[in-house]
Amino acid sequence: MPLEVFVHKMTDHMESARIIRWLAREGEQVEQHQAIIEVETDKAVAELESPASGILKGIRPGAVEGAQVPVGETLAFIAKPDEQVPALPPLPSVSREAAVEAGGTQSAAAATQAQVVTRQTRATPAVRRIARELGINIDLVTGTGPDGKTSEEDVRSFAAAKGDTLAGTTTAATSPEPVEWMDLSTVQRLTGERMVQSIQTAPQFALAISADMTNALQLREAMIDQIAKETGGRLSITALLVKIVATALKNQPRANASFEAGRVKLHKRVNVGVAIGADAGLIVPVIKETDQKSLVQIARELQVFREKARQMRFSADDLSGGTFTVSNLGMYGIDQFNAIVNPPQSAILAVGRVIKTPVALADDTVTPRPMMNLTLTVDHRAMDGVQGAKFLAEIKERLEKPDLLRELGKA
Amino acid sequence: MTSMEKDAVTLAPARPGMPPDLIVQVPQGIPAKEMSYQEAIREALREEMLRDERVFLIGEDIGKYGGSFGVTRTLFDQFGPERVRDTPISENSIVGAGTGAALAGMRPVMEIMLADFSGLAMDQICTQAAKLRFMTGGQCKVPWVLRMPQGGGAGKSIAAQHSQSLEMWFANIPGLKVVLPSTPYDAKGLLKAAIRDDNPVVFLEHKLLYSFRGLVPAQEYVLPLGRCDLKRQGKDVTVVASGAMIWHAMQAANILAHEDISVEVVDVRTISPLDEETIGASARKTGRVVLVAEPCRSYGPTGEWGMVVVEQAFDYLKAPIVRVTGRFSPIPFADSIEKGVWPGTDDVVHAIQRVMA
Repeated sequence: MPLEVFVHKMTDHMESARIIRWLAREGEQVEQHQAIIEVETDKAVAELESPASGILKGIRPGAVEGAQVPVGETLAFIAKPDEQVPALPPLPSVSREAAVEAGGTQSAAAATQAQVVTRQTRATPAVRRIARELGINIDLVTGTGPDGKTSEEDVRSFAAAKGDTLAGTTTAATSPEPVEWMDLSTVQRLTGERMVQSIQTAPQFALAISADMTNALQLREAMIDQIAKETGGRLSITALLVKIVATALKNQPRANASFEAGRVKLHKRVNVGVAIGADAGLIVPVIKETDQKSLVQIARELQVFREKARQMRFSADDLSGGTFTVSNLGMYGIDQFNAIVNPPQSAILAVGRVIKTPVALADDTVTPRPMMNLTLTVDHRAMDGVQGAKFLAEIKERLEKPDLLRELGKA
Repeated sequence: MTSMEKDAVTLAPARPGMPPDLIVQVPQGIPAKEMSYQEAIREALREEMLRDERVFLIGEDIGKYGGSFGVTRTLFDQFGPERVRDTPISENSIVGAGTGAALAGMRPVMEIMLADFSGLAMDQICTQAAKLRFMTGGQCKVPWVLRMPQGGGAGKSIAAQHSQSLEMWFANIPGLKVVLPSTPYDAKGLLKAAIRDDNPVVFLEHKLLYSFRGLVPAQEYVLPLGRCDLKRQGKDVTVVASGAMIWHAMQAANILAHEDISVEVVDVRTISPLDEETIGASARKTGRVVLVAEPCRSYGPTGEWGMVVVEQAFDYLKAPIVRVTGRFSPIPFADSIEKGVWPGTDDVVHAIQRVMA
């Protein structure tokens, strides 16, 4: 029985993926788990593995490099050498815009269905160049020439119409400033879409607290050799914090929740996503069942993620299932910042740097202490201020109390 | 009326029936002589033989008889049998002797009666002469010129073995330069450059053009090898052509000027090395390109030129490139069929109209 090869739903928002290249050819023998297609999803580059060992057969017409393929559509089969596979109908092509828009809306499936685009833009290289220079996506311009061919005039009037709706661009058109246009990577584009969606739909507020890191830093020093031996890397504050956040999330279920379809969905598992900035954009790989993992395991996973971020090569699994997000900009010297909630999650924790700050102690003496600012941004629909405060307070407590920290070291 | 205009030479058409100003390469006021393509080649040979005693001619019937197309007429009487040497009918020995003489320091100008017969000398041309400078690490050079009439035209009726346009045979060989002049002015200036060049130069003369007349400066001049020539400036469409096809391109440009289509004509007067910059710049300027060449379409010059356009001007193209070429066919003997093989002015006009549509 031939097995189907198809793109899995890798993230909650994913409706389609773009084929970067086939790593195996029609008729080639492949092994189970061998990577056979490289795809670009809404968040990263991923490799699709063969579901079984066998011959790659019956690659679907249209499933070519560059094609945007819907999730779940059969792309090919893995079969025995003598096995016949059914001939698949050509793949319906999904435009990039349709895919992106679908990714950003709630009724994503319906949107994708409605926006399946089969038209291919016809335009001469010169017209395409003019569109590029004007910063216009030529696929959005309706061609009025023979057979729907897009002319220079079509592009220019599209640009003019677009310019009319944007204040300031008309002056830019008459006196061109020396500017450079940059296309967004898929990741950057998606991040932008998601953030707009978050800001427009979620009422957000921020709570700030500052934690005394004296004991946490001591623990880190104490463990640094052991961690280096086991992971080959330095124990980061992020790793420490992720472990503590995971424990706090277990105790504060409203923070480990998402707001979906008017209700709060409490997650039984704690999966902490960690925001990583890479050249191609911001990416949030997820440490699965974070609360069940030791500090060493967390440190090791973070290390792997940072490596993967360099090439934006994440597996589908790496990026899915997050229930909470930690974003640390401390290593870039940021004292404190507010993050935007990563929908549909109910909150996100923004972490600043550790900075020596004069602190008044209980005996009214003032002494410099290494302090760290933590800012929790909350979707008010999912959590209120008191719940948020309790969650933040627990994180602070776990960062400061020597006995709680010792527990961490043992785990 | 300025004195310059008074001194101007009255222009005669290159051929009866053509407009007299179709191709004018000598500015008014510069002393010039009107002569045919054939005479221009002869003048270049004469001048170079007078200038440099190492220059000598060798070929079949080029002495007393003056050459099958009369190009070397009068030179035997002027320079004698030492410097205008008749040979037996043996193309291989002509080029072999020429190559040996060139290696020994002479500057031979060889004539093979028809480019079609160069096959007999192919080893000497492509495997010996073209390679010797490289094979000896630059210790030797082969400064010869191989003159060969080529091409044909409707009504010539000289059939498949006497009519071919073979520039691509030689253009595909590194080590050879290939020149194909379209006018008397170009023929003279380029032949002088070819004789002075230290590399073997295949100098192809179009049989139809021998009788074409045009102005040639009275003063000495030499044209650069390896450069295209802008025969006409325009802004709507670029026609890249060479040899006899230039005349069709220029006539087509004249016709279409009445339709307000401004045609630029690039003359690839050196086939190899190819001046890619000029072709690219013109294609970027107009965004529309028609390629016209006499050899048959498959693996012919237009394929090469078209690829240069794609490499240099892709983002500027407003229309697909169109080419006009000879048919992939041996040249027929019968006049009525031969007509169908050669590209003509009408073909160029239609091609330009297609890219402008």
